[in-house]
Amino acid sequence: MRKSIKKIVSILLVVVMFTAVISMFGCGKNDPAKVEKVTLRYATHYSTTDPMFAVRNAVIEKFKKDNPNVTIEDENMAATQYHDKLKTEIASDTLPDIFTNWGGSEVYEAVKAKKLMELTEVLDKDTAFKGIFLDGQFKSANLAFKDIEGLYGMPFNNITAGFYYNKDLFDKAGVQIPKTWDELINVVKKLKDTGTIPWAIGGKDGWRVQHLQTALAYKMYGTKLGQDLAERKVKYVDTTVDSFKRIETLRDLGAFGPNPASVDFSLEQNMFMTGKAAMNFSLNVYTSLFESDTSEIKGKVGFFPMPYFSEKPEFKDSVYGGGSVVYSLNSKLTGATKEAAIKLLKAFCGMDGQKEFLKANAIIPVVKITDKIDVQPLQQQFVDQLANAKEFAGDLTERDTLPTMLNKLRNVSVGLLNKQLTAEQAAQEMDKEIELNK
Amino acid sequence: MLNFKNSKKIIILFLMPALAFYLCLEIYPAFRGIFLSFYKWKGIGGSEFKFYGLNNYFEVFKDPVFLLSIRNLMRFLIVSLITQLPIALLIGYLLSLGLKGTRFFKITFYLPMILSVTAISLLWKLILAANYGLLNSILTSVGLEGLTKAWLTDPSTSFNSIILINSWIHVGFYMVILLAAILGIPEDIFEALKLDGANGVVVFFKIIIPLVREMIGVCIVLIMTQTMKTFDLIYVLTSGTFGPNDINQVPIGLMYYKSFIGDNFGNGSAISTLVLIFGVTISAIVYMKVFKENTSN
Amino acid sequence: MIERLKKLAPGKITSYLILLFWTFLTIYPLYFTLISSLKTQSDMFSNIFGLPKKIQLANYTELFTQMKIQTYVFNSLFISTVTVFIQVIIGAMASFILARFAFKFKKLIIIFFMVGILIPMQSVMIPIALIAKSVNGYNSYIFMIACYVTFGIPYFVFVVTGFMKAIPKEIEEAAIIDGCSGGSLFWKIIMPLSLPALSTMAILSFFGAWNELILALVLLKRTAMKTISLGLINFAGDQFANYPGQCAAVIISILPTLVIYLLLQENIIKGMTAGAVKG
Repeated sequence: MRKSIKKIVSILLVVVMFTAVISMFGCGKNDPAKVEKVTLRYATHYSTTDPMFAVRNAVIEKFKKDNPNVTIEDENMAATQYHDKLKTEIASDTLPDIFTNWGGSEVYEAVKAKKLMELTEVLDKDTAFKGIFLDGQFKSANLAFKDIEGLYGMPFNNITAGFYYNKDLFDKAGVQIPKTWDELINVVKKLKDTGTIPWAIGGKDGWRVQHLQTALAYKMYGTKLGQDLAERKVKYVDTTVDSFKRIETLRDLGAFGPNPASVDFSLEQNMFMTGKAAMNFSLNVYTSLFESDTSEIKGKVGFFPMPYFSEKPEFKDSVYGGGSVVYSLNSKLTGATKEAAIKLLKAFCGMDGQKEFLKANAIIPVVKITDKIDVQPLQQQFVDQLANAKEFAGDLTERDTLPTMLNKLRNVSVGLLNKQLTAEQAAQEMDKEIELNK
Repeated sequence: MLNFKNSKKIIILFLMPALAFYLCLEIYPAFRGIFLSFYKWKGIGGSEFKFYGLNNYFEVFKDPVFLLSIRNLMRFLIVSLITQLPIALLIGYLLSLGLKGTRFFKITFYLPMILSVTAISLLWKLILAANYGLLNSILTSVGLEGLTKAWLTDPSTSFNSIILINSWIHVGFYMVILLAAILGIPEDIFEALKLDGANGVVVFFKIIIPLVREMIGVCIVLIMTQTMKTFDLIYVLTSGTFGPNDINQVPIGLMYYKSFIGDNFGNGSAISTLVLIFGVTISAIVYMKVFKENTSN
Repeated sequence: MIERLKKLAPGKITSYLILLFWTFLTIYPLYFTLISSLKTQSDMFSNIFGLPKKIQLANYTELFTQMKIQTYVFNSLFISTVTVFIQVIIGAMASFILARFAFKFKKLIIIFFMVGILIPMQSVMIPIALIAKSVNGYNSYIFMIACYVTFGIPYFVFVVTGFMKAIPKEIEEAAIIDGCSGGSLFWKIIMPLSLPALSTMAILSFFGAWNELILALVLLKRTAMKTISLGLINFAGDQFANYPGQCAAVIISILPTLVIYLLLQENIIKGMTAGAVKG
């Protein structure tokens, strides 16, 4: 080997030592002099364009200022990755100190294994805090676990889903807001004739398609379907094929554009915001994004609820929505760390935090807010939909005890959208997942 | 061989660290993995851990996704063989001719091998993106708009795209191996051919290929083990889903998914064990000979 | 250099065409990434093939100021270099013994190490995770580095033992006559003489740790501790539509290995293919 190599290697080694030493310094954060210093690992699931993200950051900044002894180790990633993160952290028993989640089947095993802190005590110690929540908020389906008593997540927001539509594009196509499924199909056809993509959907992110599937299923069987499926009273093949079929119909009509399964959530929103797509079935969370200055359709966005099926009028007001994100704490927390984590939790779920999020039109609050806060009319329509719903529920699998069901439902929904599965096969795969994990 | 008064001490002292690491973090885990595959267990706090016999294996083989992952692996292997070997052989042969720039070509072709697979995958993901991707833009610009595709999500192209990217990465590796083998062919064989006036094509098929047969065999085995271990590439290209809907699933991916996301460590261990046994068996074919040489003196 | 083949060669032009075609196929994706990383989003979409209208370093500065990519680079650098250090030292120690001493069970130990080459690291992920749980190995660089060191040891011992065996014995015999002990013989004679093999293996183990994904994915949960590979994935998930930004991130993450490779190409190629070629 040449001499120069020797030289290079020795230089490399010096660099290596140097960086090693520097990095050591970087890692040393245990300062014994100040015992009360607390570090919290705080994990959330927002994409950076999410209207909630900016508010969350502001709340965190304020919290840091008010609590200089607390260092926040901020871990945020987009929802699809966050779901995986959550599950791997449960599997490895390394859950963050305080983290968002959606309750339900995903955390069932972790709750059962007592990895999440039971929060009743937190409420009982602070009755003022307990008193601000809406009635029934703690009984939300995603917080109720089969055979397990107690509260394992503090409600943070309620959600509901509906259609955003571009008024200009609707006018151009000469269509009105659809009330029933058949009208919706008609709208899709007419929009397509004008050359726009009727409906933006980010089929690459499974939850986008699954929200649609679940909303459709509730319009056909009511929200009790989730419970019946979780208790294995009914099978997926007997109850959900039709909801998948409707997605097939839309897909084959070209409602979602050419390659919906390669579109991710941010692109989906981009398509709608730039006027390339006329409709977007999405959560109330994004009203302020569509009405923001970066949006090309500002002021042109309307809302309509998921159309109902004229053959099933009894489920006209069965709505996808309800308690969604909750804040949970790691059950290992003790002492000052625990106190700090509870404080942070209250910063988000308490009155002040909730007001901040509401002002930004980012959430449907979980607390009774009596002040007059102006909410965008668009957001208000979502709020009203949830308030007036005859019944509502979140994800179809939220009462399930099998942790993989939500993921599976999302996978088969994407598979269906991507023409890999037929509606029957999609439903069969759901039943097979149950069968395999018996 | 060296001999000191304190030889024994030196031997133990010097060998111990490596042996200790190796025993604790490679050999023990390998056996532990096999052991675990006979138990039903979930990841969290040992909430359930009971003897399960061969049931994990039965369950795995009943799982359509596992069967799909095996089919994918077979396809991965076959397409890798028919793309990587001929290209590596041809390029290796061309580089053996002593043309000007040989060194440059060799270094260039080997380049993808040393770059991080994560980065490479991300790079290709951008190239193959359905919207504004490079490949679709090229097709559109030459008037082949009809051929544009969502390469990585369309079921008809996604897995093949992954395989070809993998081939793109690894061709250089096999090229170097085969080049060395071609350069090792004895001189006199070529002398004889020169007199016969044989042309390049004849040499390539009649002489080179038969003479480096053994090394081609080695390459086949190496390709088998490499494809079997592939994880990062597919993980990144499919955004961690191995989908849409598991369509691009491979055994290692399924092992990761079942254990760390699906909480079914029993099934995951069964898949691990299968990979372990398969991997050890096939790579033993190549390395046995090397080991024999290594231990004989 | 290889006169013997020249006359039998296929047409020179055909040969060059094939070689240049493959060169293009290899280089163009990297070139494309590089020029795209210097464009703005709109420049990239309107002018996908061409050079940037105006060279934009904003994609890079954003990576550093907003995404804090330097944290990930630093983490990876730390993990990789410490891995190299430990592996070189304990690997060389073991190789020295296996190359230079005669003792009982030596053959067995060599075979024992060789078996490690056969074990796919991916297949021991679950037990490793389990061990991590019992020794607090999650979110711990120490544990992760120990794993990287271990996974590299079999091949390291295999290559370096072979190299050490070939070092002429006369030098050390002279040293022993001078009263050199076993330890100083290793440090003062064997290590310097083995430098070519050690440096090659050091680079390979650096590459291995720098590029590794699955173990990092399993073991590192805290964002602040993540490696460049994990950081890259997070970034791509978060900034799906930001193509130029992703290109810049790719360039940064391949830069260290690329530079090392361009400096030491032939040795790296030799080191990586050594095992296979010997067979």
